[in-house]
Amino acid sequence: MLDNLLDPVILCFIVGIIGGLLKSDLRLPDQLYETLCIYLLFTIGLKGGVEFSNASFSAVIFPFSAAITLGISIPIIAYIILRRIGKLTTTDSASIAAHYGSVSAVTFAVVLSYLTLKGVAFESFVTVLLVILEIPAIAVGILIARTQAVPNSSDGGLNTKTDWASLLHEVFLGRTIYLLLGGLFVGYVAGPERIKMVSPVFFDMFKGALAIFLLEMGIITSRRFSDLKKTGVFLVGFGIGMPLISGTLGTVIGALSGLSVGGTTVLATLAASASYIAAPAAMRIALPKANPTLSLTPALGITFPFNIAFGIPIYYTLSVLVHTWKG
Amino acid sequence: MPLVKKKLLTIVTESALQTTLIKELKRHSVTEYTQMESYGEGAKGVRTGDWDQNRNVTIQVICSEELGEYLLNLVHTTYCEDYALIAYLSDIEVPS
Repeated sequence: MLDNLLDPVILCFIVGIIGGLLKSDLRLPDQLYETLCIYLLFTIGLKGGVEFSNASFSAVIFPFSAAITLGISIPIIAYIILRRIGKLTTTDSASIAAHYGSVSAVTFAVVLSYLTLKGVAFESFVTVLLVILEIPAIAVGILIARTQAVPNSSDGGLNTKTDWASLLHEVFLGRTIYLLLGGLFVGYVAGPERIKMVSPVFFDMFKGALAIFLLEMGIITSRRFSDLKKTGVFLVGFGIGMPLISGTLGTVIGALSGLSVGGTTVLATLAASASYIAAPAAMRIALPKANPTLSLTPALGITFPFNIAFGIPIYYTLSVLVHTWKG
Repeated sequence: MPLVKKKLLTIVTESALQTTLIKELKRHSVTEYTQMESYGEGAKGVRTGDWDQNRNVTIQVICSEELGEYLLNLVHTTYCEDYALIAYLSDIEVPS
């Protein structure tokens, strides 16, 4: 685990967090942050697309089903924990559950970088797993709120008419998914030979760009820490406990679906990660009564740094163990 | 240059509401508006603009007094309870 903390990418993240806590005026210009975000997402898609051409239908069907299963089951488990143990309102529980069922693309980039550094191979189609996992949780979160909300109560925080068309547009054509799918398409169609002409920009510079991006993410994360007082002890515990539960579930389901140790680690990390881009935007519109601080603070302030620093090595170790038992 | 009196409706709110609000304005026959990215702090939190979901947007519409008051009321009653939002009307003069 110490090895992971010494990775320059993780060290940059830590430097960002410390800078934020010490109230340094360090901040990436908005346009650079946006550019890096686009660059990282497109590169992940591109890399996946180039390698995807080797994957056969039979190899992807079980892992894809595993991702859908996780995308539906994680928000339901999270909802039950938040409602029964945390005693949160229906709407807040549904909104937080959707955040935890959905995924973080930055955490995904870090796990790929972690596995590459360790020399662990993973399946070519893992980027598609990211796309698959992003969607169902948001829909499940809205459906939970719709079915569980008590009509005419202050907790019935659902827009009575959920505008599914706008929501689907927000999720599918939001920057994250569009760039990933666009990258997959370009990589797949261009193929390994033609992609070589752009590889110095996209592949060779990836890790450096990720390091700068995580420096800024460290600052953003540290700003969430001050909101932790408002969220209470339960959600702080949830921010660490939930990724461990969903990461373990992801490991078991990933191994059963036939993924390799690397692929299982990626799926477990995706399952454990919480969204702080697509889900907050969708939930703010679909569940306006849900308090955004309650979902965003644990997702970005606790779960994200936990996964980056400790979660990923844990899921890798779990994945190795499960594969050893499985034989 | 002759000037005519108009109202300027200004709405400052969280960026999550941007698309919804523009659709709402267009539904009420608003065809011209200006949008600006903005940052700020209020009773419903701080939006420093450090990433996409943490931004405000300022939307301005020049309109008649009647439409301005109608839209101000509509925006307040529909969105104020759940979203960080402030809207106000000001008197302006524009070339006729």
